[in-house]
Formats: sequence, C-alpha cells, structure tokens
Amino acid sequence: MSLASHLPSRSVLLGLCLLIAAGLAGIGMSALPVLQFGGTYADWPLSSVVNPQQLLTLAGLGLLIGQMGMTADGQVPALRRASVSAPRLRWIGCAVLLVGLGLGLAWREPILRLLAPIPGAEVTGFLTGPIAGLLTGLALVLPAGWRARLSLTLILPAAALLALATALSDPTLHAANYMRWALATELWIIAVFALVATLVRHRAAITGGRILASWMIAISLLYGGVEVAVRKTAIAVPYPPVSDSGAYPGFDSLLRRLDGEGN
Amino acid sequence: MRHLLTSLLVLSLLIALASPASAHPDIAVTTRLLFDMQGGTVVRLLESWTFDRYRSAALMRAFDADRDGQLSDGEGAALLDGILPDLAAKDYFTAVTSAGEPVALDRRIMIEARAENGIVSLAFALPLTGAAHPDAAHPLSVMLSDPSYVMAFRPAEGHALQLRGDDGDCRFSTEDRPADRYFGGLVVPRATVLICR
Repeated sequence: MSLASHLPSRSVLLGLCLLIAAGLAGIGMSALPVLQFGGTYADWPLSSVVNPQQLLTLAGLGLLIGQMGMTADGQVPALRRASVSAPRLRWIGCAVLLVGLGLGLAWREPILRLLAPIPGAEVTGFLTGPIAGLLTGLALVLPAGWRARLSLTLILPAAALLALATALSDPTLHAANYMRWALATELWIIAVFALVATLVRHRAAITGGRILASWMIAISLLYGGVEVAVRKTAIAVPYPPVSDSGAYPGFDSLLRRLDGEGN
Repeated sequence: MRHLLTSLLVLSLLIALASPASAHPDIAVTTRLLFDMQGGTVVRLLESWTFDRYRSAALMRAFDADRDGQLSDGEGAALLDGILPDLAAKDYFTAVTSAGEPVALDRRIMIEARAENGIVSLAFALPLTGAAHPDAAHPLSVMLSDPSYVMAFRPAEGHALQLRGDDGDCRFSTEDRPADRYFGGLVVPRATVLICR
C-alpha cells in the first residue's frame, strides 16, 4: 500500500498547516525586536529552544506521543489488548509530559543535586539537555512492544530534564515571561510532531521515528561528551574590571543625586 | 562510505551549532556595596553591578540606539525600563538580614545605568525599611545570590565594600553561607556582615 493512501484528508491537513503557520508566525514575531536592533541569534530569547539539540528532543517527544498505540506496521488497532485505546494512550502521554515539565520546575534543586556529581555540572547545565535527548531517543528506538511498556516511564524524566534545560539556558536577564514563552514554544513543537505522527499511519513513519531516535542518541552522547570535554575546564565568563576613581568608587554619581534630592 | 561521511558532516554541523546559552554562569557581575549610614543606622544600601563584556555588548546592542558606545539619559532610561521590573521581581537578588531576620527592601529605589568603554554598570540605592543599628547583637548581613546561577556575583578587587557616615565605628567581615548553597549545592554564597560599636 502506498504512503499517499495513509495521508489524512485535505481539511485535516489544512488545519495542521494553519497550526504550523500560527506557531511559526509567533516565533517570527518573537525575533522581530532582536532583528530591529540588529541583535544576534544569542540575543533571541527563544535561542534556547530553537537550537538543534533541543529541537531533536522536542521532535522525538512529539513522535513518541503521536505514535503511541501504533503497531510496528503503523496501524492502530481498534482496541488494544490492555483496553486502552490509542487516542487515550496519547492523552495519557500528554498528561505525563505536562507532569514531567511541572516536576522539573518544582523539584529543580533536588534534581540538580542528583546530577551534581556529573563532571563540570555547573558549567554544562548539568547535561540536562543531552540526557533529556538520550532518554527520548531510547524510548523511541525501542521495538514496538518495549516502546509501549516503557515510553510513559521515559517521557516523565525526559520532560522534567527538558524543563530544567530550558530554565538553565535562559538567555535573558531573568525576563519574567521567558519560561512562559519558551515552554509554550516547546509544547507547540511537540504538538506539531505528535499530530503529524498521529496522522501518518504507515510502517515508514515508525521506521522514520526509530532512525531519528538513533540520531538523537548519537547526537545527545556527542553533545554531552563535547560539553564535558570542552566546558569542564573552560574558564567561566571573565568578570569585568571596574574603575577605582572617585571618593566612593562606583557610587559618586548616584550619591550626588541622592544628596541633591535631600534623601 | 558516502552515508558515513554525510552522517559525520551533519553531526559536526549540529555540534557546531550547539546553543551557546547553556554554559553557566551566563553573566558575570562585578559588585560593590556601600552602606549609607545616618546616626548609626544604615538607611540605605547602595549596590553597583558591572556586567561582563558579553552581556554588556548585548545590552548595548539593544539599548545604545545611536551606537556611540555610551548610554544617554534616554537610552539608560530605556535600559532600566527593560530590565528593572524583572530585577525588582527578584528583589535585586539581594537578601538583607538583621540578627538573622529579613529586612524589607523599600521598592522606591533610585537607579542609574551607564556605559564606559562598552561595559555597562548599574548603580542603585535600596532604602531599608526599619533597619536597625547593626551592633554585635544585631549584625546586618547582605547576601547577593542568583539561585538559578544565570548571574554570578563577585566583589570588585578594590573598594568592594564601602561605608559612608559611620564615624569609624563599624567593621565588615565576609563569611560563607553553606546552609544557603544553591544550583545543586555547587555554589556557596558569601555574605557581607556589618557590625558597629
């Protein structure tokens, strides 16, 4: 049977395209202020989300949830033996994802303390990004039977570490809405991949997911290795020198204003 | 063989594009503290933060509209408008205690931003509400820390701690606070303690 025969109807495709277009427009809008002042990629608040490592993890989580309940040949049985239908399984996957994201943020310090023994943990962001990618890749690369048993268990820590990786790579100066927008963008990316995976019910999609998973594992290991090797010994951002001039160095101007206003 | 080469090429590209934002700390800040005293009481705390050259460059890209390497009054005001609410929401990463009890920071702060040789500094005055006389029984302690370790604070090499109006009756000390360690327990903050006769 050809792949075309497994594609969804035109209206469903149109809805998906609109969802993608709306998200892309939102991401583009977030980059506009940076473009306006001639900023760089690193100035863009969503640079912590829209980068290869994070995108692979998000795509993997989306595929994992979207393909839940599918058999190895990409079919969805009407009712699974365990009496949990594929759509319900996907909703459970979504719930576990959200719980994982919440746990990652709520239990930030305990999780970081667990990861603290990693060499160079403080300068490598505790390798939260690569470990999240590794866990997602492992869940996705498993044969269908094992994937069905283990994916929910692996989504939970992967999502927790994804949330932590997002928090730890905040490129802003503590902008209050950073996490809100970063998590919304991540959920949108996961949703797009999950919807595409849900709609394309074909053996090729399952195989494609497993190929992506093997890449995710390789890249996560490489990223992790590079981070540890390069940043473990890297000197942190150099502290700036400051001037020692004036009666109260660093404060003369402010003190003049304070005294002038009679404060 | 071709597949292997292609794979290696793509992997190398992906690694080269790795997000630069994941290293910590992201921002190094050189700090100075000034205790402003009147009649033996600390009435306000002044802090000076100088950002590292990378963060300074980012701030200048965003706020130095005329690209003259300086922050005019208008540009400085725009910078403060842009970052002040977020810093205020975190109490300026400053924890003040008197005899171990938290001292509230007045929200009516005075702040200014300036740039020198492309390096951006903030100086701000935090009025202390109900600040007590910092004697041996009520030492006044100030701790600057960012639990997310996006910013790392380090005192300046010279004039890191200053006093105004103390009549020579006060002395500083600094101490580690292991009980307040953060970032997975890897960072131990230091507190400045002020005691007067």
